[in-house]
Amino acid sequence: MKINCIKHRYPDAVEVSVCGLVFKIHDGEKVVIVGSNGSGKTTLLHHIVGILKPEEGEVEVFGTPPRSPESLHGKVAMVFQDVEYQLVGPTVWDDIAFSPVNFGHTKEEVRVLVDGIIEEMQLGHLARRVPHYLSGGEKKKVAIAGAIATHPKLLILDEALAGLDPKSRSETLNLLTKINRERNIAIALTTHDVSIIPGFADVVYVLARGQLIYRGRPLELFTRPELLKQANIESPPLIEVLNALRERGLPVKPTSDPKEALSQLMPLLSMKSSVLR
Amino acid sequence: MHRASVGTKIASTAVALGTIIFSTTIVTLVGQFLIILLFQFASRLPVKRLLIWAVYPAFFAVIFAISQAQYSAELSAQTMLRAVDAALLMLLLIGTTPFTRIIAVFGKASRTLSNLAFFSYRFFFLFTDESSRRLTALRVRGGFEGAIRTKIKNAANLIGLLFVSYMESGEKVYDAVKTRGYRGEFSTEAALLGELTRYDFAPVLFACVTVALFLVGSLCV
Amino acid sequence: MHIHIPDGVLPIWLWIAGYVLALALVALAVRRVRGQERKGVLAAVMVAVMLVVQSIPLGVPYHINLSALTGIILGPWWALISILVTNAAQASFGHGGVTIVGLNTLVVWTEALIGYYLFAALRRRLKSSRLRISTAAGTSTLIALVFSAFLVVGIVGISAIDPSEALGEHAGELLGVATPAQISLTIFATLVLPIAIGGALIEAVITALLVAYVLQVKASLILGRE
Repeated sequence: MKINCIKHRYPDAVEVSVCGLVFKIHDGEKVVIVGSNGSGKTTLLHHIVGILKPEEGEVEVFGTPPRSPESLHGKVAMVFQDVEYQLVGPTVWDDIAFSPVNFGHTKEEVRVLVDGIIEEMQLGHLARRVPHYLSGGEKKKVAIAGAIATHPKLLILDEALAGLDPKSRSETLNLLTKINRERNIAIALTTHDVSIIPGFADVVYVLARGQLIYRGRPLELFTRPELLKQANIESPPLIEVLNALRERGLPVKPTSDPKEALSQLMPLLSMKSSVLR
Repeated sequence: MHRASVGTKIASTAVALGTIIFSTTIVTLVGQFLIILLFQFASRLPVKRLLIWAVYPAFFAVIFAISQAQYSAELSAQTMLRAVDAALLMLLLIGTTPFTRIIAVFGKASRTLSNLAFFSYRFFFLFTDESSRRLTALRVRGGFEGAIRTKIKNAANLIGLLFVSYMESGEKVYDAVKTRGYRGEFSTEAALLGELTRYDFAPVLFACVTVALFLVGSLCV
Repeated sequence: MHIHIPDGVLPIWLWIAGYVLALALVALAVRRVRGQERKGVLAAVMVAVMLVVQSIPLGVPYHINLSALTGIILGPWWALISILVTNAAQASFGHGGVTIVGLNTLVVWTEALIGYYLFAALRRRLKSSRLRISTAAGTSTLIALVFSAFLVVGIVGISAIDPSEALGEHAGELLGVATPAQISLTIFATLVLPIAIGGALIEAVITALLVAYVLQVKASLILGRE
């Protein structure tokens, strides 16, 4: 898909634009869009799924502008910022079955599909539970299960990790990586938590006050602190430390992996201190 | 009762309701009251709480009871008892059957009605949670302290705020279900009426007992 | 005004007639609203709102309805469908007789109808200002609810018609159901009307305040997408 400089005016007269670089997602990619609050992340995503239509600019999803959410059925699925709004089924099983039923699958097809996803995502113990009473992490899992039930080619998640504890966050990211790898579903995820970027994203976009100011690999982004500052974002602490050491002449590369960082630093620490300015 | 099929439970409730409506003696109505309580107890429902809930319809039935008192005190008592019996009967059905199953059965007549009921069911949970949270927040911030005029103003603003929030929730849910392919179908895993099982003896027994009591009561009049 | 007539008080012919008429109108409404999915979801919001407010105990045999507001926001046909679902849900929890759901729906629908048309008429006549529009909403609510209170009394009055006199001797022997002639209409009206009118005043004020707030924050909810 491709988005090029869109502008949208909300009913309360607030105008939001997303311009700058062209936003693209290719097959099978894991894309993270990072930006501070109010930068335009949700507006961008809502244009992709056809909830919003741009007053200016172009949006193309699988070759055509999305006229409405219906026009993308089966191709694009979305997990909303507040999953409460999309969990509508009386039970978890019913909720996961919601899209397949509406897309016209037979009862038997729905049963096979849903039972399969429940098993794959280890939701068996929740299948008969009422979604409203699940924990935040469980609701997110159910929402993701419901979204992939129709085998979309692109899965969009708006602040999917917000409000999750570190363990749930890690589980969700692992789940998304698995979905991407095993089902070849492209993933676009918005967040303002940069720590997830290095381990997850293939491509990262930075959105700053309605401007897409960066598109590229995650670790390259962290070698450009001025971009992060523009977007009002802080680097993960480990990368900040490595950047600071590199500025002082040490031959280190940014990494999010503590073991890799340690393996870079240990040889340097054993050298004479004259290396350090 | 929990494991009996939905169809049998609805049918037995209808039969029992008929016996309540057409019973003409206090003894019969009291007997039905006791039978309903017995089945509630056997179904491990919170009988005390259900009795408290049944006070509400009884409270509203007082007006009719008073309006009938000049004809016969017995008539007034029957009115009150019928209100309580009918309420407890419905609570027995609701307490032993997922509400969504009942919606699915009656919704066969109209998809519009069943969809409305399913969405309303979902919204009810969301709204009661949200109103509870906002009310707590307002209390913590001192919204109900001070002059009566301030309290009323804050209460009115809270109601308005909740209303706008609810309507916006509706729009967000609509957007969300549209992206999920909503075309007017609500999925429900369980079979519509459920196959007859050995547990169906419970609602059948319940209906038989209420009918027997009604017949005995009618014959004795 | 939501009738809280228990089951078994009104004669069979009356509550069956209520059901027949209500369901016929709902069938018509369902046809009229075909394709209006977005409004259907908003109707579900109003059902949930009505269920929430109607469960607030006030210490008297009366509760807030928001039926007139439902009519103003949804229009007559969706209001009718919402009201049926609300009444059915309440009856399933023992709140109001199951046999009375049809009559209930008709009575509460008149509130929504009067609320809708009166509000529209007042809006056309008055200049648009937050105060005037919210006052129009409150006034429409008051008139709608007072009318429905008298309608309820009228229904109980109709139920006092002895079928034996109207249809013949055996028509009166309705399986032992309390014959309606045994409700004192005078006592009933004396009890119901003051409570209903007092409740109508309170609800009218609440509706006006609510509409005033909504106009300030999201006017399109009340005025439509103008």
